[in-house]
Amino acid sequence: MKTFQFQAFTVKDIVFLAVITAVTLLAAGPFAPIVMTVTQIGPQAFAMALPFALVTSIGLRKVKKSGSLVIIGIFSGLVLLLMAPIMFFNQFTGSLFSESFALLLFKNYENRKAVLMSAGLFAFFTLPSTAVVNILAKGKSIAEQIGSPLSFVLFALGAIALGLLGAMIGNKIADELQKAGKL
Amino acid sequence: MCKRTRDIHPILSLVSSLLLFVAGLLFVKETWYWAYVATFLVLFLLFRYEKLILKLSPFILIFGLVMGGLTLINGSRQDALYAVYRVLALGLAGVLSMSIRPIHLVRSLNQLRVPRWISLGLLIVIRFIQIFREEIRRIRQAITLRGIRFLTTPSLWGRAFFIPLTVRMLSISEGLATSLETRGFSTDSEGSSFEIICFKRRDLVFSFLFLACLTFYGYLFLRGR
Repeated sequence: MKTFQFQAFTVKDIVFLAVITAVTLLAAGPFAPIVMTVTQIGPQAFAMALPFALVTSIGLRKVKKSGSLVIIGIFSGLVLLLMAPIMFFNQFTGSLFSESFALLLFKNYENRKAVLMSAGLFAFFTLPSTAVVNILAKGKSIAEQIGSPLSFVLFALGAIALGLLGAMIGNKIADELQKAGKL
Repeated sequence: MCKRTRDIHPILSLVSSLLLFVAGLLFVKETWYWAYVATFLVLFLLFRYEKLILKLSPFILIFGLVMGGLTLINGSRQDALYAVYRVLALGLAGVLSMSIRPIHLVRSLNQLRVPRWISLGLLIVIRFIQIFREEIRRIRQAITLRGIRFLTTPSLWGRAFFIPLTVRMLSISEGLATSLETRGFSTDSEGSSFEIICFKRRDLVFSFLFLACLTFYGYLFLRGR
């Protein structure tokens, strides 16, 4: 069906998305020191792309409702709000842009490519909000944040590539579980 | 029933933490930054946050040194100092936000009529991070016992790690959802709270002192511009 679908979320969906968020944060945990120490824009999204895409794509395969990724973004943002307040905006806008982009292209999550796009581009779409927050909170100009344009482009492309790779792996795991009747 | 505790109201802690962090980042390049940090440390000590400060200190110290050291590689000593100051801003905000008990935060969010799915989800995420850390440890132990190594067979390692983890995620969330539904929980109904989180006199004093200090440093910052 090629239409937008806005369905209400049940308790089951919310619980599963919250559990997926907990695992996403745990999977991304080992990369946290990189994210916190690097001052340039780009390496953060690059480091987080694979774990975020892998786990969230499994979540989107189970809860195929529009808004699922935004809910994951809100949950992870709320938890990160307790550690680094700025991260909430990062997570929320990243998930919102990524999901909107995927749903504009594919209308709903019945198409596997929508899951791939939505989960795969999540980390990449945190870049604009990181830049805006750095300008507002740290007074850093875009040029200062980017540093070397070549390395920025490489990191941004790397974030897309790793994100899509993570989402592909996540989809493969979901396929296996679907075959086994678990998903 | 309104419970009398020494904790600052969770929403007040959260908002203050956010303000402290943003202001800390703004004030980083000011000569009086150390006084800003010292003022809020004294305020926290007055409100009995000494245990949390002690708990966070080693992390802030190590993280500050790492950040400063990394900045020194391709920056000046001044930049390294600013990097340390940013970590201090994070530490100050962390003292307040880490003092919040998840259940108190959820209860006060419910009192503020925040949709129940948000407070429920937040509580599950916070609680399940610890549970899944243990699950991951067990799965990795099983992988090691089976002699699978990431460096030699990464794809096999990935399957052996992610498939059991996903199955556990599914079974835990199914069980939890069923348990919530059988207790009459739904995302659209209004629930009652066992305990009411009230705004106490202590919270009022804290917010007054906090805002007074923040306004003073805000004034210094604006005067210097």
